[in-house]
Amino acid sequence: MPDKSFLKMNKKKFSREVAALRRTIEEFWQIIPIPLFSTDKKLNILKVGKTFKSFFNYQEKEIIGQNLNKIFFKEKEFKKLKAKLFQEGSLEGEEVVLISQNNKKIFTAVYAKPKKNNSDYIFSFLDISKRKKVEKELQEKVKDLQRFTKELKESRLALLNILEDMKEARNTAEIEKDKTLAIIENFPEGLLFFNQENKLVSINPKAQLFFSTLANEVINRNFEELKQKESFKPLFEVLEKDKEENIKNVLKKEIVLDENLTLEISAISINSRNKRIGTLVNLRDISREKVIERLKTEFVSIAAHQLRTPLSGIKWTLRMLLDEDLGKLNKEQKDFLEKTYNGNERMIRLINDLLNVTRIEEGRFLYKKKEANIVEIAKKVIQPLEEIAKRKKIELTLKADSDIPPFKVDAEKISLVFQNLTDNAVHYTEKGGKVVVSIKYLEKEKEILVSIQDNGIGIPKEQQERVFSRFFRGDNAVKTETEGTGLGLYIAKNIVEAHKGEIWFKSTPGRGTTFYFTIPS
Amino acid sequence: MSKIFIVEDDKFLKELISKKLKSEGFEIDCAMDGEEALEKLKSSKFDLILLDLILPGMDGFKTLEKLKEDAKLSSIPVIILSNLGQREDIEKGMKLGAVDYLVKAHFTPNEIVEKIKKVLKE
Repeated sequence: MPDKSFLKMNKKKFSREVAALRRTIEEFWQIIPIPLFSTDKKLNILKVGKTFKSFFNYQEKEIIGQNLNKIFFKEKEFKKLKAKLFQEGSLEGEEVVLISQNNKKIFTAVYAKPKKNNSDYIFSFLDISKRKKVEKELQEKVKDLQRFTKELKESRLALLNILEDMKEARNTAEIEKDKTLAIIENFPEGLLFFNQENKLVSINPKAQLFFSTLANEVINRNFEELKQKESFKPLFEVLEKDKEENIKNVLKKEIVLDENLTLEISAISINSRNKRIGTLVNLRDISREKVIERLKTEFVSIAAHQLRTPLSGIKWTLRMLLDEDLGKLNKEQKDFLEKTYNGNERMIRLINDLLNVTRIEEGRFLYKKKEANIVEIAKKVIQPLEEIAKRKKIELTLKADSDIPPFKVDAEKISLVFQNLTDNAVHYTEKGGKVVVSIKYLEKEKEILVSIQDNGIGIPKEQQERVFSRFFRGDNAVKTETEGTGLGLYIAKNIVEAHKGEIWFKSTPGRGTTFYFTIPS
Repeated sequence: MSKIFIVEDDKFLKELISKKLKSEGFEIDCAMDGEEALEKLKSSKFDLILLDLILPGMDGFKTLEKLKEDAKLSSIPVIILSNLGQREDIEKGMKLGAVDYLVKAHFTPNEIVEKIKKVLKE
């Protein structure tokens, strides 16, 4: 047993050490930066640290002895915490909302441990407001993310659907495209397609054959480039661009590529939804048609010549008989021979007209246009007709403006027009009638207007439409004079129109007819 | 008396035109083809030639060419008397040196005689 003097001597030392310890603990209570407090087993607050006081804004006397629930925001939470504490004996970061003296809410994580020696508790907590705030924001962000993900999933689904639809549409389009391509590739006529920029984007095998070229040599070349290519030059004689740089529409123009190859060209603008997307050029091989035409003309030429030979014989014979070169004739004989002679002349005229008609149809009718004096041409034609007119006691006059300039015309063919119209006027006008040929120069339009007016039998109204057709003769004309061929006006119309002029007439049956035609400069 | 040479292969037409010309006081000779014509023309002097174009063997154009190549014969005026009447034929004939081109079916014998007299006057 330690002796009394040892204990007495060390009591002072122990007291001093205990006091020092007490002071140290007190210091801890003051300086610990987290709120610290202690409660009894009923959770009444016994002691609070300095940080607690400043954190909660409480003075010592306001809080010491108060129950812990005073600093709790929700009574429910307090009850829950209390239950947990009593059940588990400690608290390890329970999240609760505390409240300061000035009603400020503080999110905290509460720690509590029982004191070793008795049933008091030591409480501390961490301010997790910031953490809570971050957690809240994170949650919101997560919610947003989930929403976005959902939207994305829906979008993806929609896109997949669209993709499926597109695949199907594309398949259909591919099939259509293949069909179209097959048609174009196998088309028996040449096809060229220029896009809106006038670049050649398609040339089918037939067209490649015509121009002795391969697709890759000309695809994607533009209008101007192709124009320079030797084999294509004939094509660009008929293909032109308009003011807006679009290729002009062409209707059946002919080009000759070779002595055995003639093509008929047509070009048309292609539109889609009211917008022009390009030009389609069609090339039709009409070589065979040209050969047939040529054969027809040759045939007619040869036939004409062969027919003329015996007809010349007959003409000369009859003429010599009628002129009494071979002996005198009585009146009856003369009459018969006259009629035969006239019939023969008619046949000769018919052959001429037939020849002219085939040449018109072959398109080779107009020869060369040279500057000529229209009035002189008319005079030359009218002069021989004056004989016939005199015999029929018909007044035939020519009136012409004095200031008519020379015009570029095919003189021979224009003579035919004058001849035909004046001939008709004289032949279909009765004795004592009047025929006036007038030539005017229209300054504004820069064209010549010719009119041939008679006061003859006229043209029946129901037949006026057919006047210019081949072999047509009005009923009254046939009765008046048996000799017309019905080709004269058809030929005249063709000649006038080949000169880019117009021909028309006005007629009243029994009163007369006036034929008009124009020749532009 | 002027001498006229006729180159014509159709017997009937040849007879007709010869008869007419004789009755007008001309002296006549004739041939049925180009070769014969050139031979006969070389052996006698003629004042005018009436030349058909469609002939057996050498045609009228070729004959005309040969006529104009020959120094002696080239000065004789040639009137083409044919039933070909296309523009090209007329032009070709005139270019080869013919002084006129008459389509048989379009002219009476009298009119042909007129044309001949006109040419001979020049």
